[in-house]
This record gives sequence, structure tokens and C-alpha cells, in this order.
Amino acid sequence: MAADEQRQVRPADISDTYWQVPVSDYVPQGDAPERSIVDEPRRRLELVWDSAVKTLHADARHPDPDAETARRLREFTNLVEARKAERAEERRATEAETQAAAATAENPPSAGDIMLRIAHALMPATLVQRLLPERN
Amino acid sequence: MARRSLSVVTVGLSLTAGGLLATGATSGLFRGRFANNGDEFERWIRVGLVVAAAAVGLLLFQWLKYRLAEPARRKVPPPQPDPRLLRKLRDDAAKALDEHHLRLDDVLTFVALVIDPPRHRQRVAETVGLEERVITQHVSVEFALPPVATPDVPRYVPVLSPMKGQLVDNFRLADASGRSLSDLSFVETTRLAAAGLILLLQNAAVGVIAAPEPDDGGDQLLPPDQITAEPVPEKTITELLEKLDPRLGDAYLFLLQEITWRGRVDPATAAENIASSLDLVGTLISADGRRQLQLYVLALSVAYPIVAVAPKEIVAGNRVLLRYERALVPAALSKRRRGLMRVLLGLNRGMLRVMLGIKPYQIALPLQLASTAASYHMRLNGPDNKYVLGQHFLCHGCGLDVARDWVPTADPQGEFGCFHTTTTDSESPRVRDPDRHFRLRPRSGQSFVHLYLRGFGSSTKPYFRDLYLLAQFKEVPPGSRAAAAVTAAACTALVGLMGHLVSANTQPASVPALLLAIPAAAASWFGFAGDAQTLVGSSLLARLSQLVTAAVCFVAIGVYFTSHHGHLPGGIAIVGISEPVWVGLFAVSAINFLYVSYRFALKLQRYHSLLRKREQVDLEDPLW
Repeated sequence: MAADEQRQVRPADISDTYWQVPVSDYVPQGDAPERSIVDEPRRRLELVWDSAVKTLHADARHPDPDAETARRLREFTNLVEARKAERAEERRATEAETQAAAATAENPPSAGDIMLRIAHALMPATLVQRLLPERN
Repeated sequence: MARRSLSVVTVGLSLTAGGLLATGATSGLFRGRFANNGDEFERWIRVGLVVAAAAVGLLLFQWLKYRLAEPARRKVPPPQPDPRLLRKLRDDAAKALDEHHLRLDDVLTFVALVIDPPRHRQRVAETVGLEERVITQHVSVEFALPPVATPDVPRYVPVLSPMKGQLVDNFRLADASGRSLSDLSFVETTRLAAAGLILLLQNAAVGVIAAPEPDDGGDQLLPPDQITAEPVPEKTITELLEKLDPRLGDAYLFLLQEITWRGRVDPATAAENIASSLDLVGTLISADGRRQLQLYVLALSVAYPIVAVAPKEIVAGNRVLLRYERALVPAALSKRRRGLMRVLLGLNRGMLRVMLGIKPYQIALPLQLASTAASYHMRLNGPDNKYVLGQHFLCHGCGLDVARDWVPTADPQGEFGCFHTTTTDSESPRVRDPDRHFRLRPRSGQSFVHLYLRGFGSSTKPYFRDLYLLAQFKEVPPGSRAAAAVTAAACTALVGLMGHLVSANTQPASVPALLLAIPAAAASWFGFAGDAQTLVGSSLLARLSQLVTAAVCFVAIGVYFTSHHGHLPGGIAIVGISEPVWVGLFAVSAINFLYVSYRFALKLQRYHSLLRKREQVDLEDPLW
């Protein structure tokens, strides 16, 4: 064990100057499906490919392709921005739940807290505030 | 570039400092102005003038440093793809398909290698050489390419993916025999990426259809988790593809914009954009197709792949070996300390090394290529006159040596956000995961480090990330420490001799003083010669010792020609030297000699023990 501890060198503990070679290449982030696209049946891929070619040509034949492309891109980008905001909100909610769960695990709610939650669930907020002002 | 002219401030400060210094160095200017104690007053005035000159000089230094700093440049972001460019790219892709410049097999190979490199990169061998200020990276990659319908055509193979915004220096691409190969241009690569994107998107859309039920009478779109693995009839695929939701076309445009975005891209931002856009078409594509799209677009958003054109002659049975080389410029880093010298002058150990012309002897190499291959070799070649003192295979986050009982994780763990944890199973991890293995060549006084990794790359399950190799090189004895010890010994002997002569009231002669100049010159010569041909430097201790030797010699010469300096009280003499100044010089020189000799002996013993080491396999200690 002592030998293991001796071998442990943290970058922050390197006592002298050192050359740091930059990370230069991108590395995939994992999570690829077991079944790759090259595992698909050849005939299916050929059909998809033919369709892809047709799609590209169909878009190119639009009477005003630039304006059409700009419109579609603008509208979809707006939708993406809205979705990003939703995702951020979902993440915040999840984090809050996680923190609340952790806090609950550390400090179990008292009987008063539980009653307050039940009251909030069953009665309007103004009524709860009037009935239990000091705890609310 | 702005021209740097001599400013009024610079001239004013220089003249002020020079004037103060000249006045402080001149005697007799103020003595006569005082009726009493003129010498005493003048001495204090001169000291004050010299201090003031030093203060103005420091101000001048700071002013020049400020003037030499890079002027703030106006930052102009690179032009980003607009709808017109995207439309042109799409049309170009259609045209290339029409003219058969791009075939399904070309696009399939490209897509497969971008999404799942470890599956198709069987072996990566990386050799790193150290030169004056750069490292040269020589990489050979053995590919197992996807099978194709028409094997007698060139294959497009992405060989490396440098981050966007990075300039690749001294790049050269070759086949196994060293013959140069061509690679696709930026436009051609982007066209290939655009074709790959639409192929993936439509394939993902096909993935959501299930075989039609007999009483159903038509196609059925299912949620991704209910997709069956049954073969889908061709007719169904064709019909589905003919009535694809236009939102898929919109998503295609958006994702194409992400791929063609220029300049450095934050991976987290790109991943969020991609995930949000795929959420909008989530019901139209399969889960597997979505993951493939995410990986594909993220890889091409963050990095720009260099695609080699491999002629059919060098591809045998879908296997091909390609080589490339390039130069990388490392940064010299050091731990920030808060010492007195750092506070006063901004000096740290790195600055001290720069001042003395000594380069760092340690190098930290990232091992990201190990994550892109089934097996990986890294060979770091040090200079011929250096040997490997230390070698560590580390996690960059926690800084610990990689251990066999580590298990990779998908999410960051612990305080440092590492992607590993320790197995708690009592079984040997070698039995649990026989596909993963690593080994470092033991140190035997050689000048290179060899690391072998197998099973450290995976696109389908968690893998280790942020691993790197830390190598430390030292000079093969005798080296500069021996030279420093010899010059320190000569200096000590001569200082002792002269101190003895002076203490014995022998008539001074110029010959001993001239002899003292020899170690001074030797120290200067040995200290500042060499060390420029390689990236890793020699001993900082030896350089400091040589500086001390030179300083002692020069002071001794000065002292030798000045007047008598008295004797130690009580008739004490050290090795026959009784003058305090000579005793001090002798002590400094002797300590310098003893310390550098001691360190040299240690290094010699260490190197000798490495040379005597016989190679043996110690399964418990891969880092031996």
C-alpha cells in the first residue's frame, strides 16, 4: 500500500516545470448504439440513399430556394431555442428535486411540515397563509 | 503591426535613472557643501541616489514591459454559414450525387468512421519525437473499413479530427510504404458530411416504421421504444420515404448549419443545440438513429475531419494502413507559488529555468487517440543523451496512476470529475474484463517510453477519458552534473590555495589569480553550451552550481588584489586559511562542490541500478 501511495503523482504536485502537449484531436463521446448503420441491410440503405438524393433535388427545385431555406431555418431555429429553454427549465426542476430529496434525507420533515404540505395541496394558498402564517 | 517608436516617457525615465546612477557613483560632489561630517553626509546622499536610480530603473522596466505587451486586437468572428451557403452546399451535394462523385459506399464509410472509430480503427501506433521547441507526432492507423459493393474504387477514410479553429502544422499523409496520399478539400469534406447527414436522418426515419399488421392495412409509426427488429418490406420503406415529414428537412438544415459552423465550438453548447433540435423530431426518428445523429453532428460540429483518399491498390480485404505526421507546440507549465521572489519580480521556477536556459525535463502527453482504437501503442522518444527517470500513466483529473481495478464510468465522478471508479468485487478485474489491458515498458536506462493499451476505446459503452502519460528524462551520466562537480572541485582547490597563501602573508602574485579564471571560464562554458537541440533540458542544479562556481572565482580574483582583510580571532585557521573573506569563499565553494557531487553520485547510482535491471514481468505492477 505504501508503494501505491508513493506512485501517486497529482499534476498539481509536479514540483517543477513540465511540457504540456495540447489535446489536439476530438474523441467521440460514447453512447453509440450497438447496431451501426453499416449493419443495416444493403437494400434498405440503397432505398434510403435514393430517397436522400431525391430529397436534395426536390429542395433544389424550389422557385426561390434561398428565401425558402432562410424561412425554414429561421422558423426551426426559433423552435429549437424554445426547446432549449424548456430543457433548461426541466434541468433546473430536476436539480431542485434532487437537492430537496438530499435535504429530506438529511433532515426528515417534521409533522408540522407534512401538515403544511397537505394544507397547501388541499387549500388555496391565501387560506393557508392566513391559518398558518408563522410556518408559511 | 504598429511600429514601436521611442517614447518621451522612455527617454525621460532612462535619462533620470542614468543621471541618478552617475551622480551616485561620483564622489566629492557633496562633501564640500557641509561644514562638518561632509564624508558621512555624502555617503548617505550617494546611497540615496543609487536607491532612487534603482527605483526609477524598476519603473522603466515596468513601463517597457507594458509597452512590449501585445496590443489588444480587434476580434472579428469568422463568417458563419447563412441560408444561402447552406442551400449552395445542399445543391452541391445533389450535383455530386448526380455526377457519381459521391456514392453510397463513400458516405457509409465516412459516417461509420465518424460515429464509431474504435470499431474500425484496429490499431493506432503513435510515435512522438522531441525537437527544439516542438514535438513531432507520427501516427500509423490500421483501419478495418466497412465492406462495400464496389471495392475497386478509392475509399474516403477520415484519419484524424483536429478541433475546429486549430491549425495543423507540418501535416503529411502517407500510405504504409510512405508514399504521399491526397486528402479531400474543405468543400469536398463538407459535401461528404452533408450527404452523410441526410443519409443518417432518413435512415433514422425508416427506423420508426414497423412491419404492417395483416389487418392494419398500412404503415404504422411507433414510438422508438416499441420498434421491432422485424425486417421492413421495401414497399413500406419507399412509401414512408416519399411522405417524410417536412420537419425532418428543417432539422436537416439546422444540423447542417451546426456542422458547417466555423471557429472553435463549445462541445456543451453544440450538444445542447443538437439535442434540442432532435427533440423536435423525436417521434419521427428511431432511438438508435437519434443517437447516431447526435454523435455524428457533434463530432463534425466540434472538429474538422481530415479525409484521406485511399486508392484501391492499398486496400486489401477492406483493411488499409495509413500514416500521418504533424507538429505540435507544447506549453511549459509550472505550479504557481507565492514566494518572495515571485511577489517582487514575478519569478517562479519556470522563469528561473528560462533565465538560465534550461528547458523542462518532464513532458505530459494526452492519450486521446487510445480512445479511438481497439489497441494503441505510444512510444515517446527522448534524446539520446537522456534516460527515462520516471514514467506515469495517469488520470488527468485526480492525478492518480491508472490501476487495474479501475472501472470506466459514463458520468463524471468525485471531486475532480474523473470518468472512473474502483471496483469493489473481490474477483480479479483481469478476469472480469479481459479485453482491457495496459502495460508500460519497464525502465532500464533506455531513452524512450513505450505504453501499450488495449480495449480503452469504445463508442458503445463507458470508457476511460482524460488519460495521459507523464515522462521524466534525466541526463545519462556523467552529463552536466559531472562537469559542474569538476569545476567546483577546481575552484575549491584554487580558492583554498590562494586563501592559504594570503593568510601566510606570501607576496601576492598574478599567477594564482589567473589560475582562478580557469574554473570561472569553464563554468561559463559548460553552463551555457549545448541543450538547444532537444525539447527536454539538462540539470537545473548543475547550472546553478556552475553559476556559484563562476561567482566565487570572480569574487576571489577581486579579493586577491585588494588589501589585507585581517585574521579570524584566537588564531583560528581552517585548512590553513585565517582570513575571514577567504574562509567564507572557501566554505561556499566547498559546500557547492560537496552538494553537487553528492547529487551526482546519487544519480550515478540510480542510473547504474537501472542498467543492471533485468527485464521480468511483474503482473502486479504494470508501472514498474
